[in-house]
Amino acid sequence: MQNWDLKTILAKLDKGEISSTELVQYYLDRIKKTDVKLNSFISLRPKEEILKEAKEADKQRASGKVRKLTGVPIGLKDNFLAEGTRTTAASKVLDNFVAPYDATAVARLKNEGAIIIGKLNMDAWAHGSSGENSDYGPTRNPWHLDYTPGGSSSGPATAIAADLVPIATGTDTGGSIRLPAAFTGVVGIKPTYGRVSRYGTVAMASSTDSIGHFSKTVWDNAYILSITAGHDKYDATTSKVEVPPYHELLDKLDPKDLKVGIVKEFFDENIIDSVVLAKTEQAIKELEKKGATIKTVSIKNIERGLELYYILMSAEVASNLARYDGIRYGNDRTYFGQEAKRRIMLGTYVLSDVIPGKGLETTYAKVAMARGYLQQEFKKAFKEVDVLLTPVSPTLPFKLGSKTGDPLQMYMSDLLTVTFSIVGVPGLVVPIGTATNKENVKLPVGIQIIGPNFSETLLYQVGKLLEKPEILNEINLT
Amino acid sequence: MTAVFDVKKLKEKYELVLGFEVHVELRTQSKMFCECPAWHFEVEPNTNVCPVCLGLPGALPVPNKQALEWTILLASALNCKINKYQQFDRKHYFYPDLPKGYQITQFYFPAGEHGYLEIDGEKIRIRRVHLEEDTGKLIHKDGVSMVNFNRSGVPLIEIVTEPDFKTPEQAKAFLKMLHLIVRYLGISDADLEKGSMRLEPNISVRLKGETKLPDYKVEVKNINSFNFAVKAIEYEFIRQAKLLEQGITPEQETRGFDPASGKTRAQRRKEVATDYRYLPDPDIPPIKFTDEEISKIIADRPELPYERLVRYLNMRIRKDAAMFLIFNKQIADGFDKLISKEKGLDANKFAVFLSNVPETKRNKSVEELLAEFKAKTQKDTLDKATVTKLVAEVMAENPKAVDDYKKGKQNAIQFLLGQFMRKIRRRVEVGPIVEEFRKQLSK
Ligand SMILES: [Zn+2]
Repeated sequence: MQNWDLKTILAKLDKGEISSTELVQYYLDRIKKTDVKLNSFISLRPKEEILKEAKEADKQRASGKVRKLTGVPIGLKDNFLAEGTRTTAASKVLDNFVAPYDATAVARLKNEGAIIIGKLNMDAWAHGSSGENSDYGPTRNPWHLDYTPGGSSSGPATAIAADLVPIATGTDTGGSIRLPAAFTGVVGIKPTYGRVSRYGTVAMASSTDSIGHFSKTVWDNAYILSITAGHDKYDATTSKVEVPPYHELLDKLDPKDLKVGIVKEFFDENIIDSVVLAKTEQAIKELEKKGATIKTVSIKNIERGLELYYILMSAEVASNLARYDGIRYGNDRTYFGQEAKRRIMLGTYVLSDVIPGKGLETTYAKVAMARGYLQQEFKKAFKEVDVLLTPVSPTLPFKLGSKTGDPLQMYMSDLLTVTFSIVGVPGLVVPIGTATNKENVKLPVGIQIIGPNFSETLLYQVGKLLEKPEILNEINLT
Repeated sequence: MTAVFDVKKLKEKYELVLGFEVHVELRTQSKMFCECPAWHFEVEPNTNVCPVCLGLPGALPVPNKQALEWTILLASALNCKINKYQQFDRKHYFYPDLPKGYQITQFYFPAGEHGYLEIDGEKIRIRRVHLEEDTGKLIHKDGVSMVNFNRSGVPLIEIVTEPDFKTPEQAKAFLKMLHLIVRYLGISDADLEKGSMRLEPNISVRLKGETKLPDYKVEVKNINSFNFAVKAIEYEFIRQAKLLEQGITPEQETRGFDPASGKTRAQRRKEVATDYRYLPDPDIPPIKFTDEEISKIIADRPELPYERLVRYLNMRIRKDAAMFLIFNKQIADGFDKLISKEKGLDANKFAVFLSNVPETKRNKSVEELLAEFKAKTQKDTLDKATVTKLVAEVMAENPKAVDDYKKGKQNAIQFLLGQFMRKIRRRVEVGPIVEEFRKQLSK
């Protein structure tokens, strides 16, 4: 395993120490060798096409025409449309769907010369926290094959941790990037809602869907976001706020100027496993040693986020899945899996409460109001501190199959991530170390850094102070 | 056994409860939420389509600014209160011509509300004016059903009235005025035949004197002319009155009008609001207009037909002629231009003249018509010397008539005048000529 991060790869390509063709060949070989076990890819693009693009990239590099990602292989979560690629969102409903256009994020990565290797596994329609809802089989955690890599972006997180691609895209609606990033020991960002265009990604819950990325390091992640972020005329919810060169600003933070908030409600031994809590507190101590001010803050009603999320999300899911009727493309609705059906029914129930002329009295509207209230609470908190630090998951990665019979237990895995999704603020997860569970299995631990809207620069700066990317070398995939 | 009803008695016993839903397809450059051309007539099927209007995975709607402004324009023309806060909602139902499984519409916060349109001194209240997207079109051919998505996502304004109409004729006058307003604003072809304007009456019937609205209503579709609207309403009135007479409440349903038979036929049960599971569309941020923005949109509004009518009536133009003009905008535009240019032109007479121009001559320019009008109505005045000379000539040529006059036969002067006219073959003021005759005859 060479475990090169993107920054290393770009330097090697620049210096001519490696060609794009060799790079691509390395990943293809590695996928062939290990993905039988991991199941992180649903579809791979034809090898000849990938190699052709790599050769072309090498030619461009030789002639001095270098873009930001010339010849860099990437993986896409299978809910990203990329022209000509089979795009299933891990559901048999879209088993035979070939995307006729590029998602905006994909187009921007391609424009910079990235080479798409394939489409990565996930919970079908991004519904899930373990990857086990995939109609194409669960993905296994490279730290231990009996464990889940988290979901819904199970494939992208695994592919980064197992060194199958250096960069992968993901989507995060309630924690779908952050949880698997923590469970596999990689860096994952859920940017501010509206920071990256959603155009061309299979919608889950439109009001919280966020497009983000997985990488081995904070620098890599910042570099990629600086490419994909920004206003898009095809997504009316994207922001016109300027996109800074995040990766160039990583060292511009003096920890002494940093005020860190510890969310009291999320540091509760009744909710969080002691190993996770201990590891998180240790990371915070290290940050304090570097000069940061640590302060405990309380956010009123933060624990209500989970229920608000499940109402909003199911309503939007039911609506967004209405188009899959099998008339123009794909299979009919009998192909929906258990979890999608569960959410369609929940959402349809929520939306059946329509009061003509009283648009503000429906369940959805009331929840939307509560959401506005939570946003105000967060604004107050961010007057006191610059960022919030919390664990990502109440537990270490759990065993495959251990929660599939109990949807409510599965939903609880999102407890620490969904509230931030509803509020819309950005969240960055970085690896802070490993811990050993009761069965003596070594597993990674991540920490979640939350900031106000459009504070991605600050999140990356703090992430840089906390990250321990070297833990990936402890993965022992045989 | 079929019951026999006396239609006249039914009309005496029951009254019509009638409101309208009118859809107007906008002729914007692009569709409501994507960049595809909005024009979809005589276009190869499924060529004006993209991921957005086909409802492909990942596609997102971005609202068309022009359509939003035109909706405000029409709402203001219908005297509506304009909502500064507007929002798009998803209306869910399944139909093969609806690619997303929902239609994007303005349910909770429409562009305009609480308006009215005055028809012959009576106010018809407008409940709401809102913007939405059109659906695709189903084509059934040779036992196969196909969908053409060229129309999918074309901007559509819906105008909903209160059930204020008393007669089908009043409804017709309203619809014609609404049609005219839309044409004046230039926001739609409003072609009933092609379906760029669609009329859907909501009809129910109750006992005369009853004030409560009936607890059902029947919506009629497929009406492509104002006269068919009248026919459909008349047919429905009798059909429903007959049912009520038998103690049966008519079904709440959607019926289709068949122009050939003049009858309506049941199509489907009409849904109620909860069936649509309205959801504020999370893909489209709410649209907030400032007072200034709204004022600016309305300020650019051209003169409306009813405003023009008032102007003409104030100019003392006869109402039928004024109505003719407002319904013939091109002629009226020319009329306005000439009236301001030609001093001394009798506006009323010219308007009446224009309204009497036969259909075959309507293609003439208003300038040409003015020349005809002048030739027909305006008279030359001959100079005094010519009159004196010609009168003397006529008298010399008609000694018998001169004689008759002198004997006291006053009529003879009419004969002489006729001869005078034949001589000049022009229309002239007769007063001075008669006077000259009298003068010379009395010599
Ligand atoms: Zn389109």
